[in-house]
Amino acid sequence: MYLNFCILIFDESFNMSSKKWIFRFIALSTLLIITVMFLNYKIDRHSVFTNDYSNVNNIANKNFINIEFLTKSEHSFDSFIFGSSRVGQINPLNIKGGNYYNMTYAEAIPVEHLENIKLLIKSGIKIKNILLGLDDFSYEVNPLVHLKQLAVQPYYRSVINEKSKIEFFMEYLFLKPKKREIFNLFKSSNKKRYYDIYNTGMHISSKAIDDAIENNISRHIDDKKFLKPTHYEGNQIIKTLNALQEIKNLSKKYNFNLILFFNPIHKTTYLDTNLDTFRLFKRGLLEISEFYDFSGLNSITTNNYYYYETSHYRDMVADMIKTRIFNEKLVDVPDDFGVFVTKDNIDEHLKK
Amino acid sequence: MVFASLFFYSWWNVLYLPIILASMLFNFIIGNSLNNNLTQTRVPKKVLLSVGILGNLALLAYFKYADFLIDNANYVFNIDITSLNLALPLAISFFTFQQIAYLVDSYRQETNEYDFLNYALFVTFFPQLIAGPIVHHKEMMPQFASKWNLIKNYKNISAGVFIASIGLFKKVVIADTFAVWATAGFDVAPTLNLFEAWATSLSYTFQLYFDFSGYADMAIGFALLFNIKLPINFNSPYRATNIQDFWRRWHITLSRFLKDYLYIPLGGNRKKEFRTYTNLMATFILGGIWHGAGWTFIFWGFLHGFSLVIYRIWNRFGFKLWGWLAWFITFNFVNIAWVFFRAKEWSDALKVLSAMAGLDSIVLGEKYAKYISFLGENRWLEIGRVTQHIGDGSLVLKWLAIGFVLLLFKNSFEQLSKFKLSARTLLVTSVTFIISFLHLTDVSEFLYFNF
Repeated sequence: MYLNFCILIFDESFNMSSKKWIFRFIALSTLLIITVMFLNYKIDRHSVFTNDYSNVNNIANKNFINIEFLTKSEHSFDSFIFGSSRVGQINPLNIKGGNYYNMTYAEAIPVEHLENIKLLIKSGIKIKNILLGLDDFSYEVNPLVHLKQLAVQPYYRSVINEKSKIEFFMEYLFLKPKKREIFNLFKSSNKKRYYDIYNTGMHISSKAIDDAIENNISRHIDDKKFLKPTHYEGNQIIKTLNALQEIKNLSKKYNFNLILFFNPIHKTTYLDTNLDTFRLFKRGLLEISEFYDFSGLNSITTNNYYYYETSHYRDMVADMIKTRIFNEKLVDVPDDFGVFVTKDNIDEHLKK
Repeated sequence: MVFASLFFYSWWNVLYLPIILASMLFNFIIGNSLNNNLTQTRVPKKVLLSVGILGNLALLAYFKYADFLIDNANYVFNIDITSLNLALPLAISFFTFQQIAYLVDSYRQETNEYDFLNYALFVTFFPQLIAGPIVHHKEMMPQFASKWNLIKNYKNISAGVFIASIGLFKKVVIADTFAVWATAGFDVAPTLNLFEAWATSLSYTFQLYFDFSGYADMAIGFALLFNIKLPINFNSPYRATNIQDFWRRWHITLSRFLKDYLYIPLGGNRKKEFRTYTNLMATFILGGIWHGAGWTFIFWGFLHGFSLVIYRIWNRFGFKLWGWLAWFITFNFVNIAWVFFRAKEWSDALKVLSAMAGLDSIVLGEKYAKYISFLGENRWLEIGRVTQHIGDGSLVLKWLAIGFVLLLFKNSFEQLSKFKLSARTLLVTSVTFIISFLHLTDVSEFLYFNF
C-alpha cells in the first residue's frame, strides 16, 4: 500500500498541472512526516514510548521514566534519593530504614523534585524517607530550559510542564532520526544498559572506566580534563528555596523524613562557582532545614582520584556520603568530609 | 490582508502596533499633501517633505540610536546621562526607509491616488514586513489594486511553496547550523586560535547569507501564494568578483534604496571624481548606521565605501585581475568586513582578526606533535585540540566545505525562474520542507529582525 501510494504520487509526474503538483506535495509531505513519526516511535530515542525499561540508554528521559515506572507499576519503594546525575552513584540497596529508589537524572533541580514528589504522593505512594542531593547548579538552572530538552523534560501535566499528553509525546515523534538509529532498527544490537530502572533506579557504572582508572591512577589524576570546570550560571535562588520550603512542608504534612545534603563538588567546579552566591544559598537553605555539606575544599573534592571528571564522583565517594549521613560503618570517611550544618556552626563552616 | 499583516506584526509584541500605525498615518497624510494631484496646500512642498523625512528619522533615532548617542555624549563630554534602554520596535528600519522613499516619490509627483488600506498593505504586507525585501510603491500598489490577483492561481501557489520551502531550509538547516559555531566563536573571541578564528568568521559569513537570503526566499514564496511578486534581494553575492558586483547581488533592494534616495541625490557620479568618492563613502557609512547603532557597524560601512572607492580608482587605471583571484580577494574582504558587523565590541573584532592573521597562537592537533617537537616550547605554536572553543572541528570543516559548494549551485532566484512542475521539484520541495520542519524545534531568531 505504501509503495502504491508512492507510485501514485509520482505517476505521470512530468505532465502534471499546478493543482496536481500541490496535491502531490501535500500527499508526499504527509507521507514523509508519517514515516518520520513511525521511525521515531520505533527508535524511541528517549524511551518514552516503551514499558520495557530493561535496556534504557544514557539519553533516556529518566525524569519521565521515574514517574511513569513508579506510578504505573507494582513495587514496594517507599523511600527516594532525589538529585542530579551526581547522586546516580548512590546505591540505595544497603540503606536501612526504608526501601530506597534512586530518582537520579541529568541536571535535576529542586523545582522539579517538588513536582515529582507531588506526583508520587498523588499516585498513592506512602513516602517514608527522602534523601535530597543539591548541587552548585541547583539554584542556577532555569527550569524552563528543561521544557525544551527532551532527555530531561518533566512529566506532562505537572505544574511546571503543562503540556497535554498528546503535546508531550508528539515532540518525541518529530525528532530528526539519525542514520545510525535507523540502521540499528534492522539489526539486533546489544544496547548498553545505562540505568537500573527495576531494582535501584541508579546509574550503572561502567566497569571498564573504573578499571582503566585503577590500572593507571597517576595518568587519571594528571588528566587535563580536571582543569576544565563544569560551568553553570544563572540565579534561581528564590524559586529554588521556595521549592525546598514546599518539600519541607510536604514532609511535615505527609510525615516523611527529609534529609538534605550538598554533593561533593570537584574543586575545579567549586572554585569556578560564585562562592558568595553559593554561601547565600546555603544560608537560605538553613532557614528551611539543617543539611549535610560535602561541598567545599576537602580531602575528597581536591583529589581527582575520586572523580570521573569535574562533575561526577565515583561510587566509593557515594558510600562515604551514606556512611556519614546514616552513621553506618560502610567505609572509612576522612574527618574533613561532610559537615552537618546547623545554626550553631554555619558561620564557622562558611568561613572555610 | 492588512489586518492579518498587523496581527502578524503584533504577534511579537502588541506594544509595537501603535508605533507602526501612527507612522503609517503620518506618512500617508504627508505623502498625500505632497502630491499635487491629491491636495493643494499652502505649505511649501520642500518644507513638508523635510518634516516628513525628519519625522521618520526622529522615530528611528529615538528607538534605535538614542542610547548610542547618549553613550557617545557621555564619553566625549564626560557626563552621565542615563541610557533609555528602549526595546527596538520590530522592523522599524525597514518600514521607516520604505516610507521615506514613498514621501520622496510623492514629492517628485511619482505616486498615484492610493487609499489608506492599500497604503497600509504596502507598508505592512506580512511576508516582507519583518526583513524585506524593501519594496517600492510603484512595484507593489498596482499588484494590490489588480483584481486579477484576487483569483486563485495554482501555478503561483506551487512556485511559492517551492521557493518558500527552499528558503525555510536555508534558514533553519543551513544558517542555524553555522550559527552555532559563529556564536560560540564570537562569544570566546579572545581565546580563538588561527583555525577557530577562520572557522568562526566563515561560519558567520555563511550564516548571514543563508539566513537573510532564506528569509527573502520565504517572503517571495509567501507573497506568491497571494499572487504578489516581490523583487529579488540576493543573486549569489558570494560569487561576486569585485565589490561593486557584490553590492549588485547582496540585499539588492537596500542597495537600490541607497542609490536612488541617497547616492544620486548627493550627486552620484555626475560631479567630479573626488565628489563621487565622498558620495560613495557617505552612502555606505549611512548604510552601516542603518544596520545598527554602533561604531563597528559604521566602520563596516566605511570599509565597504572605501573599497568601492579603491575599486573605482583601480578601474580608472584599467587594471584587470584573473577571475579566480578577483573572487578570492572580494570574498575574503567581505568575510573580514563581516567580523566588524558581527562583533559586539571593537576588541572582539580585533581579536578575531588578529587570530585570523596568525598573530596569536596556532594550535595543531596531537598527531602533529612529533613533526614540530624540534621547535621546543613555543608560544606561537601549541599542540592541543584545534577547535576546543567552537565544537567538533571535522564537522565545522565539512559544513564549511558544503557552504562553498552550495555557492556553485543555482540560487533560488534562478531556480524560481526555471521552476517546472516536475517530480524533481516535487521531491525537492517536500524533502526540504520536512527536514526544515524537523529542525524547527530548535530555531534561533532570524538575524535581520534586529535591523
